Amino acid sequence: MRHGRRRITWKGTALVVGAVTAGCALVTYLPQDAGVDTPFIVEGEVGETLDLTYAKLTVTEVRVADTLTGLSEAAAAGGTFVVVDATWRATQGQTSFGGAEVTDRQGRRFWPTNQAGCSTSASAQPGYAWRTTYCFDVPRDALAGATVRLARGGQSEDHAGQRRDAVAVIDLGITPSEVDTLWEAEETVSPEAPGYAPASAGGSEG
Amino acid sequence: MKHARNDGPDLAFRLGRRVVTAVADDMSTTQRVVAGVVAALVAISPFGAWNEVEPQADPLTVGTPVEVGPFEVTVEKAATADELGHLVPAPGNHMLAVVAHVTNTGEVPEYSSTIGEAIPAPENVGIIPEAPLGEPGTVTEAAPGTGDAPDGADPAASPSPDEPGLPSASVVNIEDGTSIRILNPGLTYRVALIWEQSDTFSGDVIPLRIMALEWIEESAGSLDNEYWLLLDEVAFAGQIPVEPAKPAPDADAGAQ
Repeated sequence: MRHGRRRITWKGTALVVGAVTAGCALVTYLPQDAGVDTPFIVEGEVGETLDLTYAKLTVTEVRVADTLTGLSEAAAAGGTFVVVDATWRATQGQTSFGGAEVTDRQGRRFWPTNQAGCSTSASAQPGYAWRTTYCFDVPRDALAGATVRLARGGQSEDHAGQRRDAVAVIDLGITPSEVDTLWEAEETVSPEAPGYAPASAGGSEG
Repeated sequence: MKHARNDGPDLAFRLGRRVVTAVADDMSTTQRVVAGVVAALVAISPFGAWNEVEPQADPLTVGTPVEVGPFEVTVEKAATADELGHLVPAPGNHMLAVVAHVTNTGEVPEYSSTIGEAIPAPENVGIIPEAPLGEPGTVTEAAPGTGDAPDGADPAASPSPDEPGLPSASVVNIEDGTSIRILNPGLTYRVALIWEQSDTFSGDVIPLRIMALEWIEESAGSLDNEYWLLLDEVAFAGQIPVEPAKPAPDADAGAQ
């Protein structure tokens, strides 16, 4: 056992200062945020079934509507409603799907309404397909090239709930030439209540 | 000078008095006055004497758009009605609606509560205060034997009769009469901000204020980031004319 004071040497000091500097440099210059935060994006299109590991997801249909009619109320769009029908099939356990957001080409984000029977989230047990309808009120210039982003994690606080998790981004398939027709059409949609999906929407699988 | 002769006067006081006497003895009257004024100025400094005067609120007028946080708000009018859709007043009251065009000019959705909170209920026009949950003040007074100390906030809130907890407005989309929750970017909604008002109010105008909203990128005090913080600062204020109640009440506050 050593007794007495340890000597502070130049070599030891240089080692400590060097180690601290190297640590600071690593923390500062390595893009660790991107590694920690970025979700695993699974891209697809309408009608395609996407595997998100925790669930299989199919966007079955995309419509637009000026008005949504539900059991107790009708909702009028400030712009136009993009109505997205989706089928969730949980694969691991009971899962809540809290993320639903439309993004346009300018990067603007749009959240769904809970009016007129539309859903803002879904929840399903494994073993069956669960049909959900999301309705997003968007302006005309958001239609062309818009995508819908669906996930189990929520999108509030800059997608904090979706970090390092699988997220589906589905192209709604709206081309610039279709925008005028879609915008001017006076459609009324009655969203179906969430429920077991029929065979046509992937309900007979598995 | 009675205190100064006491057995145990405060040491600081004694020292201070000696300094003042020593300094003032050699001074002329003018010097004493100047010294007194300087001492007074120094003394009031800690009490905010040199703080900037609060900036006055910008004028709020009907038909003029104003920027409020992520929103552009244009107040169209104020109107009263016996009932508005599912909002039915108690007997002796009616509903007061401020009709405004609200556009989310940002890139992310905002909750309608953000604009609801930024436009507080007009004061001193008979807006029915919020009923406190379980009437805490009344219960505490009626049961003095419980031994529970009343919550500090309750007695403080009750003395000002017109202030206590004026409710936030119900924000209704006039187009369809539903409560609107999300205001998506790039969209303009014609909304009614609705409060319950006493029938005793008979004025032609209401004083309307819009509070300032500040963007918080990274909060120093909490874990929440990136949100609009409601400031205790009036950004816009003005008198909004009130249209009288219509003979046929309707869900649509702005049908005319």
